[in-house]
Amino acid sequence: MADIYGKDLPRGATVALPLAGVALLVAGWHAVAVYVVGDPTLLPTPLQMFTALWTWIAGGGFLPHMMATLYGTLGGLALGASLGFAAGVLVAEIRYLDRSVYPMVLALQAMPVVAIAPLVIVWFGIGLASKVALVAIGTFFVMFIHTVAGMHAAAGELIDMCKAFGGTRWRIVREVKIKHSLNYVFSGLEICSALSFILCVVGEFIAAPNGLGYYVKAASSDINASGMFAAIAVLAALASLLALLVRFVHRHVVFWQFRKA
Amino acid sequence: MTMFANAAGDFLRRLLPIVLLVAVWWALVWALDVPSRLMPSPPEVGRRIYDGLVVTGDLWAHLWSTTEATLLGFLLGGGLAIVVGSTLAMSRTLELLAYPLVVLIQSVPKVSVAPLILLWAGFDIRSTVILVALICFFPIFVGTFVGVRAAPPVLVDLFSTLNAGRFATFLHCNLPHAAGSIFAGMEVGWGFALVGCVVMEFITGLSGAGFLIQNSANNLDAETAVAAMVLLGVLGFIGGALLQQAKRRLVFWEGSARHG
Repeated sequence: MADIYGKDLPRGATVALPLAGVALLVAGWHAVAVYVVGDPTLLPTPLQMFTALWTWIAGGGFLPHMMATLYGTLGGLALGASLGFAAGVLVAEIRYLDRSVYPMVLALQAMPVVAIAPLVIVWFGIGLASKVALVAIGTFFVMFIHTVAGMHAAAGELIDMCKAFGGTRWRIVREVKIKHSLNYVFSGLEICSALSFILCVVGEFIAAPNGLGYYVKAASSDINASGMFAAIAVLAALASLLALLVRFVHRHVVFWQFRKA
Repeated sequence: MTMFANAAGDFLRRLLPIVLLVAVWWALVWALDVPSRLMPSPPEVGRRIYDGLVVTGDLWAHLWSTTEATLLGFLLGGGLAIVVGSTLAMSRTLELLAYPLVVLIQSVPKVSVAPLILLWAGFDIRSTVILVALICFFPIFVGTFVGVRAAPPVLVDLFSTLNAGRFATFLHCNLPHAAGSIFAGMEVGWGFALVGCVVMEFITGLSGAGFLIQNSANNLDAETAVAAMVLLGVLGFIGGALLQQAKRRLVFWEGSARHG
């Protein structure tokens, strides 16, 4: 087989090259920060970023902000995702709703959901409630669409067979359709895990008494790039952790999709 | 004649959900008796849009600045994504080398860098363009990379049998094969691009639909805020429709298979 992509690398290159990439990345960042910018209030070196993070944690100012963001994100995600799933199951099962509501929600998707953030703050006030509401609204629609698509994807033969063996409607929904939808549901949940942090942070940008998004924006006004980098790094770590967790649960719950043939 | 009827029917079928949506919205506002400073009814928003676009014309400036920044950022981010995605897909060495950077870019919630970009680029359209480019880069990059690598090995073998160089193979085999996937990435990217633009406008507060939404929400002028949201939805819809049209023209060989 032809190898135009250069896949016949020597053994060990698949480990050595990414490591070299990490080294290049860190060295390049450091070099730009020291020799090009030369001002830690605009661009900190990697080390300065970690120092800033450490003093922030040690000073005790870090934990309240992180917890505020986590409460908003996870609370909104739990609320929006579970409601979206329940609504998706219901709508996919009721023919008239499926024909009317599903296309409506798809049409609504053209609008970026973050645009609603200032209105949500007017509705729910500045604080945890508006963050939870914003995240819940955004994740609801994603979960709803994925659940309905998943319920539609259930194999017709299986449903027919279940009917032939006298399965009740509820049983078909539970044993065939919901089980089939799970793969879609978890893909939706993975999208939601990234989306929920984004929405929470946007809510905190606009108006919030605390949270990592609030901190990043406040640090921007203070011209404190080290603090911003530290907060963004924490956000990236939290979002990655949540995505990994979702993927882990996905593999265990929908194990048959990942079984090796 | 039948073709025309089909097209008209297709258009109506697309419009129907939006009509239903407006009806539900109107019914909810009317039934719950929501005050219009919290959530206006469709006719109020319609009148505001009509006023803003036809009578006073005050919405045009905001609509234009949002469109301009989104479009510029989308072109910048999309162009970079296609070039970088193709390069990394065609060279496994570069792919492995750039892997940590890709993971890094993917793991950071892009929106959270907005204040940082503001600090670097200032209160200017440049900030918005950069954030938009950063946000829409990733889906288009993934679409390009996956599409280029997915070229059928048999075809790639044929090219190398005919002594085609790597670039010629890319240009005539991998790239046409990736085109559908690139367009799929661009459709996702356009939605992301609007998000980036709106968030930056929230923060800079200079102009644009995002500024309009936030400013009018603060003044309890929900009519203007919802009007701006509707216009954003229209922008998202037009962008998606244009991309689908371009895909049907440019990647015509995939059209019939994907359309059904």
